[in-house]
Amino acid sequence: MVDQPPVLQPEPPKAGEHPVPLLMQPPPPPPEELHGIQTASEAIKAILGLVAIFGLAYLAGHPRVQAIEEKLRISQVMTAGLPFVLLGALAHLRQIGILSENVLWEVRPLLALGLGWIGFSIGFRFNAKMVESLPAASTRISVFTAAVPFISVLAACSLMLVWAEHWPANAIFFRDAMILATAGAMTAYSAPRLLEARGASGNTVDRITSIVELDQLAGVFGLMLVAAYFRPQGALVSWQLPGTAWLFLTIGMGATVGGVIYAALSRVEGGPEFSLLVLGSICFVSGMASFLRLSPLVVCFIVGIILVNLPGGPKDQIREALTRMERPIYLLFLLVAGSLWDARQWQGWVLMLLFVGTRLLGKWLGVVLAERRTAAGLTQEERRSLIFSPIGALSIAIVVNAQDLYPDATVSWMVTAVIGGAILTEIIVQASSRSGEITDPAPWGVS
Amino acid sequence: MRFLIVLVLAGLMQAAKSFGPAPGVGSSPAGTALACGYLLLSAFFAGSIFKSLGLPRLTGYLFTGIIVGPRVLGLVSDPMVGNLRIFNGIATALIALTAGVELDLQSMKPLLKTIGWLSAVAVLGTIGLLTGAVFLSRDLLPFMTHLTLVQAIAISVVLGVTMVAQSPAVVVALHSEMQSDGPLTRTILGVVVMSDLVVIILFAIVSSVAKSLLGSGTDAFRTAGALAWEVLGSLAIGALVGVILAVYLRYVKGSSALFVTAAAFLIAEIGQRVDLDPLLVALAAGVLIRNATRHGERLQHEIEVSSLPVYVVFFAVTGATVHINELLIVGIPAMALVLTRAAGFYGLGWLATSIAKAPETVRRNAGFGLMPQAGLALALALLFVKTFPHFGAEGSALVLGVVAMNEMVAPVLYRWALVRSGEAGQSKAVTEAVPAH
Repeated sequence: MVDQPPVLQPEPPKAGEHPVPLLMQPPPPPPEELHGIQTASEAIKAILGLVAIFGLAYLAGHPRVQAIEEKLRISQVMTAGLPFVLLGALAHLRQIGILSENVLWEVRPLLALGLGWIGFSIGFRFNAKMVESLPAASTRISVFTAAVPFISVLAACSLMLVWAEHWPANAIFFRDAMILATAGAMTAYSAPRLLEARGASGNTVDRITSIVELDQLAGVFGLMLVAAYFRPQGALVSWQLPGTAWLFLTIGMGATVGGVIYAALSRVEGGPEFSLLVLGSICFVSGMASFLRLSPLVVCFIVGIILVNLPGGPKDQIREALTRMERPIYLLFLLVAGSLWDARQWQGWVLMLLFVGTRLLGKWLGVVLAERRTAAGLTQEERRSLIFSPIGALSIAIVVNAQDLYPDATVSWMVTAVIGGAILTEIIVQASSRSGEITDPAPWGVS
Repeated sequence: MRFLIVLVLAGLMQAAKSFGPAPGVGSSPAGTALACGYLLLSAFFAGSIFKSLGLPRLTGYLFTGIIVGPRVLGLVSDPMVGNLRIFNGIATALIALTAGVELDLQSMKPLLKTIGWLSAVAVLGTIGLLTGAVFLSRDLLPFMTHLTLVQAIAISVVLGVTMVAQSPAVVVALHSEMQSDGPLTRTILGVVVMSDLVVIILFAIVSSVAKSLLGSGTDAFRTAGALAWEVLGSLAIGALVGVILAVYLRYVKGSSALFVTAAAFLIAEIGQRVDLDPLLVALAAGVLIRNATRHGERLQHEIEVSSLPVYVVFFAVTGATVHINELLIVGIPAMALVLTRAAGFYGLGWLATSIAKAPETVRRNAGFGLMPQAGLALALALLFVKTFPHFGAEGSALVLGVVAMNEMVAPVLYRWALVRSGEAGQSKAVTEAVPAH
């Protein structure tokens, strides 16, 4: 009797068939059943639908609406931009059809730009002075609060995935588990803001902020390793190099292009021209990284680090340009990311529960170990903040980036696990909080 | 240093392109993002180099597009250029919005006589000259040799109307770059906007007549209806868009740059799909806001904030679509037509402004302002191909050759004219904190 595959096993790719990454797909064929005015109708529906979505975004920033959000205790969820992910998912539904395949293909370059923008924004925060000024205790705490949940998520999800994927030994389950673990190791920037809203002291907020920033570094580093050592194969790439070579290539590309961009940005004073150059630079780097099947998030992160640490340079203008353009780019990114999210696969929801549970457990264990090993002397507020830590934009960006790099069936499970996990974690965080919401939430964005 | 940056960027672009061996990879979203970023950076620095040489920035953008485009170096491929055409619509709408906002009808009243005479004499007269030039050279144009006399005249008229089309985009971009203001600036803006309208209407009429003479058969009522919808419908919808923009500007106090850009995108995408002219829609919206509301200055500022990246990519993509190879084929006839057009605009422009008793600066320089040519002529050339499928490609090649030459040379001439007239740097924006372009 032939063994039947387990129910959870995804469809393996057919022989000779290589799924194409999101950012490398050619345009879809026009739908056969649409002609002339119907095509115009489809386009108009898409455009008006997008206008409606942006109208909602504007309304969401209105003070009266924000007051209602605070009363309903959902302002943190709104601030994280998660509704835009849901809007994108809804807009892509066939029954609604605002973001059809044709329209989605047109706006997909925004995905590369969004990933690059997030990476660049995070990298630009890591200047040498900031790193040197970090208290040693924060660094040690961050090691535990990032590493322990990483290991716990990796272990638990590996066990589930090795059983579910059941493919020949090519370590894909390990890659997927690493993606999840990387996404789970980090804490969102809303954590210190939540603390501040609860009336925590300045020192506490600063400490949590520094730990969160170090967590982000761990996340990007994890993605860099995954992207280097689990390379896409097939006709889309012409260079076959070992993983370590790709690692050096990633760093080298970021450093080289970072230097060029530094020279370019230093030639302009400020204003619209400077914003143009920042936008063009991130677009160029992220497009190039995507073209080379590297992670645009990681490469732009390295560019950001280069720019903030080279002497002189227009750092204030870059910061200003980032702040000015961050919100619309971030929202558009979330919209496109949401539209690419396939929430129908129930395996992803099962994985989500495991992901959230093991992450919480790992965060708790990490805090316990940090206190014992480092004599950190965490306050109750700090402990609570580190254990019940929200999942932020970078985690979502990591799985979206993975979805592009590895267009396999199982990666969409990771996306569901992280996006669903982010929502579930927000609910848990809200439930655990003692006092009210932030009275003046920061605009949606990476920071 | 800027030149070195441009070279390094080109090297990086070539390295990136050498990576993916699969054909059609450039058409992917990654390729689009890469091309967009590359054009933004390279064209910007090329424009800056051109400015230091005393040439218009936008010539630098165009030049970049030509050099790195599919027909020369091929750093930006055809699929990439195709995917970036979305910028064309947004840029056209933003430019038309700017043109409309600058059309202060009250302050332009003294110039209406000059604008009217220039449109009637210079523009219509040059159509006549170009028609004559095409007709006289028909033996040199293979696609016209088999036509009867009447058919040849009809096609000559259509080509004359196509080739006379000017470019509000280039004119507005030059005015913005040179921060010019004065009777010449306002007169030229008024003329190119008005002649845009006239050329669209004329093209529809003469091409319908030519089609019927060629036996293709055309429904005159349907054509008239389509034209009425395109022109009148665009103006009406544009007024509505203007009202919406005005309401937004009234009630939203913060930065509205993103909203204005989104509105331009909406006008461009929806307008094309319902057979409206996005240029007329945006123009009408801008004119309404300037002349019927108090938000003209604010809208102008918001457009300035958001439009620069759009313009840079738009002109670079326009350059990348210049058919250099066809220019080599139709070079001599195209050169003759370029010179005819230039002579017509200059000479008849001088005549028209003399009749209208315009100031000396306008008389001496108006012709140069009518010479730039870009988007509308290209669009009409494409329409020519569709309208006359048997020989449209050859005819449009001639038009494209003329446009290619005018795209490269005319902005330089008009820039020189603005400087010569003394109107460069006279804009009110100079007194505000606008960064140097």
